[in-house]
Amino acid sequence: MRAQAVVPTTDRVLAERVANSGDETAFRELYGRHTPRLYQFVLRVLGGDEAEAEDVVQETWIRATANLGSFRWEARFETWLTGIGLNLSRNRLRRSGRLEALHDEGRRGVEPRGRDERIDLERAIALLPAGCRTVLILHDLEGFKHSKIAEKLGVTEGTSKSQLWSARRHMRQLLGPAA
Amino acid sequence: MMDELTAAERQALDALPRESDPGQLLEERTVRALREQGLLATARVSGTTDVSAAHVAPQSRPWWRSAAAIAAGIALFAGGMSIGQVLGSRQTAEAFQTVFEDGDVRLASQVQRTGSEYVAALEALTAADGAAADSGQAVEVALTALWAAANEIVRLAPDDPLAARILQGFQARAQVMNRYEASNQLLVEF
Repeated sequence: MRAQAVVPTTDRVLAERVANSGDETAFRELYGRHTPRLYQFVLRVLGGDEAEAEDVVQETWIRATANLGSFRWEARFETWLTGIGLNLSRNRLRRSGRLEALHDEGRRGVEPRGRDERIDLERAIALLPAGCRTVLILHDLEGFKHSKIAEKLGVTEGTSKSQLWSARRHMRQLLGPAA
Repeated sequence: MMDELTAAERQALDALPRESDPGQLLEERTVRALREQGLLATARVSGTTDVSAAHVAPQSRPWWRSAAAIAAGIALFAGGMSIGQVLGSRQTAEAFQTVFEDGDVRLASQVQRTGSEYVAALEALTAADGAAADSGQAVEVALTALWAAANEIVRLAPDDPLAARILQGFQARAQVMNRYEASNQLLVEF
């Protein structure tokens, strides 16, 4: 009896099944592969609101599935999906007044902490102003370069760099010794 | 202007999780939304979509079980009486409250629990001594629940062969019962 190698179906093949015949099995496979990362990313961008992150993930999949036919596979499927999730998250932040213009955010500080309040890194990231938090997540956690971040957020590279600087400064304030 | 991360900061950022599981309910919610928008085909028992091969975590609940549970809960609530007493009306009321106040998914799982207890209560009734007097009523309530569940399934998935057969069975049963009642009536009248 010969062992057979199991070749995983590529994202593209699965996506084509979904786009062409609405194949639910293929969709669930795609969903299972990419949702854990998408959810964690969106959750951070939104500052830790789980219910909101779930809504965004659902909406991301709906948008992605509706537009599978127009995706040209020049980028990785995961990157495309993350881009949709990022845009939807920013729309929510903007609508709820949590996303200020990036240059205004830099001037605003973070809330000072009490003497005994100690927070972890995840919480510190969540407490950052939404705009510079997004830049920090994209650069320091997801590994995007400033040119790509600028393209995704519709800002200049200089703005992206200054926001990263602000984010790191705020984060150090939050994590440093309490006043 | 750019101050670089220290080694300790880099290490701390690298240690943060990149993945997190949002739970099975979100998957089911998303699939349902996609079906409603016509972006996914309705799953079939047989045909091109292989439901059995679907990537479903162990704790997932197939849609037909939720539909059946909802229908069973409705029948229980409407029928009430002795079976309702066995189950306890509190849980049914909770299920219905959840139906209207919370999301459909939470509701489905709540009613599913009630439905499962309903089945367990019927089993207990069947096993109990001296339950013969209640058994006829229990059978009627159970059949009502089954009929309601099959109707719900047909509404959700018009092509589902099993639910269609169940309804055909009820139709045939009704015809037999009608004939039986008619013949009894004739006997009485003559």
